[in-house]
Amino acid sequence: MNPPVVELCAVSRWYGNVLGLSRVDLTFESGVTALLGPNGAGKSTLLKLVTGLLRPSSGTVSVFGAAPFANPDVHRKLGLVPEEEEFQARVNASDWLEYLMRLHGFDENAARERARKALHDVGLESASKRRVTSFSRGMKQRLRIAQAMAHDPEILVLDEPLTGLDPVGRHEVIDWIRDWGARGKSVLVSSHILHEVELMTREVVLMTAGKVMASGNIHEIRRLIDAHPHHILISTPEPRRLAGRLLDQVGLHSISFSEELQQVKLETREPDRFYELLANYVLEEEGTIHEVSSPDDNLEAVFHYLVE
Amino acid sequence: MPLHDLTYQRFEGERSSRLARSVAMARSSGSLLLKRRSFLLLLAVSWIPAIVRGAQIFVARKFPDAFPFLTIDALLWQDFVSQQVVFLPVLLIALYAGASAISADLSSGAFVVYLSKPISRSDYVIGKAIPVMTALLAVTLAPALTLLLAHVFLAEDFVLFKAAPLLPLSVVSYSVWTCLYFTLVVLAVSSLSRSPRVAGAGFGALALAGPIFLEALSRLRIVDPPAFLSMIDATVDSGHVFFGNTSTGSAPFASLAAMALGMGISLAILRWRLRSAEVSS
Amino acid sequence: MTARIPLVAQWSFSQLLFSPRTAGMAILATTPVLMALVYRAAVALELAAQTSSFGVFSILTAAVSLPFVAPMLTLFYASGVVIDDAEAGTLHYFLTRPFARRDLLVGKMLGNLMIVMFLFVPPFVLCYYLTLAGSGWQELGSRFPTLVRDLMAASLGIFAYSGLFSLAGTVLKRPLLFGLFFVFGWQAAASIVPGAIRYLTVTHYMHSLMPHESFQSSLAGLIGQRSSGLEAVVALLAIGTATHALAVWIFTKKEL
Repeated sequence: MNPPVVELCAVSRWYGNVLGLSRVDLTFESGVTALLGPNGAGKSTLLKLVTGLLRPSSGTVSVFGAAPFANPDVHRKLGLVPEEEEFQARVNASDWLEYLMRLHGFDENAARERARKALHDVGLESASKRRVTSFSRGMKQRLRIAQAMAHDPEILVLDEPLTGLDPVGRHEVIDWIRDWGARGKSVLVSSHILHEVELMTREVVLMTAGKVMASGNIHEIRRLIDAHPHHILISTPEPRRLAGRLLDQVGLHSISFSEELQQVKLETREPDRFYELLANYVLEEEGTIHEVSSPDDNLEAVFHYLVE
Repeated sequence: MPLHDLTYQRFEGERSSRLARSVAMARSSGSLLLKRRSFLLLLAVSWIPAIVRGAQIFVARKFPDAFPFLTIDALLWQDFVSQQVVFLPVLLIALYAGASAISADLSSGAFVVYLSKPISRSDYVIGKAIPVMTALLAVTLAPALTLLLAHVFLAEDFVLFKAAPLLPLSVVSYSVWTCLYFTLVVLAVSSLSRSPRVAGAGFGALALAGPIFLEALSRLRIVDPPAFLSMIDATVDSGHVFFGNTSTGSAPFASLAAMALGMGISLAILRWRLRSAEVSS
Repeated sequence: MTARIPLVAQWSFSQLLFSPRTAGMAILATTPVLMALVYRAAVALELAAQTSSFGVFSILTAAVSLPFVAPMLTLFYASGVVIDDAEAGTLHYFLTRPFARRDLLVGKMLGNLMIVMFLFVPPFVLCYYLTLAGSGWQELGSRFPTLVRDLMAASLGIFAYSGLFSLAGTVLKRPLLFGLFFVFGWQAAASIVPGAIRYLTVTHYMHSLMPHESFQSSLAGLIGQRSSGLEAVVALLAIGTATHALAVWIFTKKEL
């Protein structure tokens, strides 16, 4: 029986007195898995452990059955898109990729060909002779992705890969990640933006404060979250009218309004039905709404629920 | 179509004083420096010459007959500050505290963040200069004044102050002048690179090249190579002006002028670099 | 030697060669040449007393090239052996490629040594020709063994310094500070203190190999503490080899 692609057994990692990762047990197989969590959750630490840039303080990490720290056999099958803000290779993109492919073990011609193809795939072919230092953030991010994919790795590790990309670029990268997973490769991707992750995969690991809070299918986790009341804040010039309209209609847990602040605050167990009703209120009853916001739509709220 | 305000930055409300703005920046940099054990160690090591001088004063005052060759006069304080420059403490402290002061901000983009606040480039430079200057004064002026105090307590007469009534003023002015010079030069060099290491190497080479070349020129017997060609030698030479013995030394006033020119060039470099960095960052 | 070492060395060398930083270091490297020219101009203008051609070369070698230019160049490049890639954000791309970390660091250290020698040797040889050319071909030829010996002393010294500063660059956060203190603080002090402490410097062995008189070598000769040529060669090779090896060993174990 083949070992799991990545396996972490009781892994902890300290930075001096600071705990970066606390007794994490995880396995990753082929397909796309997203690590979700706020800044400081331990996502980057976990990825650095998997890519062999760090060693665990306790526990074991194995990738294809071997410890990854400074292990060329593991690195042969691995592609990494690191998180660093700074990326100042003082060469043109083509030479940079070619050099990395040579380091990977390809001969000169193969390295050149792989570099050319990777640059083409990420849409940087026309900029291949430009110095990397002159690239925009988005172009640098594409180049990072190109170097990680150019050698056709078995496992692709991407730390916040959508950072710095424009909406079109984000869409493209999400498509590449899905493609990669669909081809039976393993992809580990970290992010703190829930809706982007939902476009990439169904398999997520939710992390906070160095611990794994939940892992598995995103819908199951969503259902768990939806069992909690959803907070919604509405700005409207007619708070009394809107509150009256919503009362007893949408599984309300609580509702309050303020004429002075011109706002309605509510908690509901049926957020989907609430938004449908609100749309009707505006379209059919000519109600006026200035703003609708829900602090529960961000990831921190998800963690809040899970911690509770 | 509405017209939008396209001015660079607008702030409403009362603006704090320049000193308050600069001190806020300096406090942040200074507290970071003081948290580094290696910096504290460097500061402590830099006080060793002061301890040696203190022992010299003690022995000379307590056992004057046993050590008649140990004379305590104004020259001791001039030599002390000069030696803090020659024997590297000033250079190493300036390098530690100053080489990364601006280069790190340029590489991390923090400089642009600073400029987005209601502070000017001058505030920024003053804010960066205060911690470097303070650190340098801590290894020049502070030990020199401590030695002066030690002498006051140990001496049983006022011969020293009768002979050199302006000694405290000389010590303060020479130390401040020296520290200001090294502070401005290291900040100017720091602004020339985005890498603190490269800036440090540049400053080190600039400061240390002078004495080497002066020695070579003198051994080549090229007529009296002037001290002002070297940062370190010029600083030592300018000490004669502050202590009123201008008849000695290489060309004290020329050294003083060269240092003033060096500071002017440093300010010009800072002005040029910080103006262009704003655009390119 | 694995195939990656020359590849990394060649890459590092070409990266450094065309870097603006190297332009600054080139100015430093050519200062002995500029000083030789200044001297010639000064003699022509009767601002300097005439010294023998070889004497001028000796002074420039013993006072500028070996004690200042060689360590400064080596310090600048060797201390950045790890930090430069970390600052540029390129280190993790190399560390996750399938080859030994040892090969990466050895390749980078080789590249650094190549650029230091590239910057040091041509101006040094040019300085030799500039200072001795006025004395005719015979003088140039007869003094040639001195040039070879100087180059050997410089190369061995650069090798030893490279090891020390690469080690500092691998271990310390501020290797430059250590390097400046070592060269201009520790060595300057140790070389004038009688006793065995001078054996803990690189300059002592370089001065022992140099055929020129310098302040330090004169003092060492005076108090009878000059090492033999063989001892000096062995010591410089040992310092360089041990420190380079230690740097590599630490790098292979270090989390970056």
